[in-house]
Amino acid sequence: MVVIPAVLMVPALSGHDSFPISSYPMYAFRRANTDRFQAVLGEDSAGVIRPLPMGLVADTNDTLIAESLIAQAIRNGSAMRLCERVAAHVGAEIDRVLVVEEIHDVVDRLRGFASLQQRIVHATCAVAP
Amino acid sequence: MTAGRLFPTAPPARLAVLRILVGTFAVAYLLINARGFLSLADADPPRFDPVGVLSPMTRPVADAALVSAYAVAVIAGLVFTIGMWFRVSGPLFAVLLFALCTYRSSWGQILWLENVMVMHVAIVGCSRAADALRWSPRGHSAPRSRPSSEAYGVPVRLAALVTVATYVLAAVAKFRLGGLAWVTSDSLRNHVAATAVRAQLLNVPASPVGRWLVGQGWLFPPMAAASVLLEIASPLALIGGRLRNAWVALAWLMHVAIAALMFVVFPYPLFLVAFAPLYDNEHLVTAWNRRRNRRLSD
Repeated sequence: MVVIPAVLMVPALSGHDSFPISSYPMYAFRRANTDRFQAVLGEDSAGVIRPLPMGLVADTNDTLIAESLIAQAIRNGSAMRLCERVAAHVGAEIDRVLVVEEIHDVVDRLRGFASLQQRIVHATCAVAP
Repeated sequence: MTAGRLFPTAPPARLAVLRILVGTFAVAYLLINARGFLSLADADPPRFDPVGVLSPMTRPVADAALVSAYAVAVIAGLVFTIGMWFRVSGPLFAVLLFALCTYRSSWGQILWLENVMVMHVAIVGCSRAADALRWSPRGHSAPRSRPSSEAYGVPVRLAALVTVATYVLAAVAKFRLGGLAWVTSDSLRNHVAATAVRAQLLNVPASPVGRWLVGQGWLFPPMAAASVLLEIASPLALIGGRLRNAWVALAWLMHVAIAALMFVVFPYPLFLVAFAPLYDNEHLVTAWNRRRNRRLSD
């Protein structure tokens, strides 16, 4: 009776996060107004770049899972494979797919101001006509 | 805390009602998230990053094993919920749900929203939770009434401690990772804003409430203070009575606010199942029986 709650509380000291014993770190760290995001974007023939639907990127309805999938692809060097997989499924209005990391001022973006501070392109691939 | 509070006695119906509540929720969760579990069969093996008890694994399981485990888990969950063959269905469902949820968190993103559900099912599944309110093909639900016992009270108390511990841990994490500045700075506003921007960059709807509220920065430090205080105060819910009711109401409102501001949904507390072990739920059965008897006599 005492052991299980005691084990559950261990991450309070260690900070170790796992499943199902967790330190619950989500949203617990101090977050600045600039942040880095991973995304898959599409560029049309007019050069307009916009985010592609999450369903094309990952078979999930959870944004954290989708973003972690893109982050993993960038981290383990398979961004091009992800790019080509997405490019095979986008519509004809998209000419080029980009797997990117972007740094935004998140508050400015929601207020409608220019927010993009940096874009790192990890992979680009053309969409077959 | 007195021994009576740590090792309380309870009627078998209290634990049985908890079994029905967590079982119903867990089965519904499995069914609603079927795609999330089963699509892992097609996931890229390099993404596999096992956590928890699966940490020693070096590669994903075979597709057939995943699909079979999911199917058996759903069936075991249904049998668990109605209390049949509980000596088998209880531990079996607990183990399968534990394994499936750990596996689902082993692809680069731990899904914290499943922790409490998994632990509650494990506690209930390894207890005598089918000594009452058990469905039987012969048509009677309880072969004989049993007296109150620690065997029914302790698992419910343990589940309540798990619920409370998660909120305390969440508060500790904020102080450990963010410090007092998590409350006094714009941190919470930035979390809400970042969640909305992430949604925009993935081309899914972001909360309009969150987007609007980000413009009212002064609101966030008081909201952050209130949420941390609420999390720290969670052990008060173990006392029961009005303190518990007030805490549960505020905790539920906090989850409603998180859902409204960030479109981040924690269904287990939102559907109140996470808080069920804090209550003497056998009264639900008494009230239901009374209403049924009145209807029959009318």
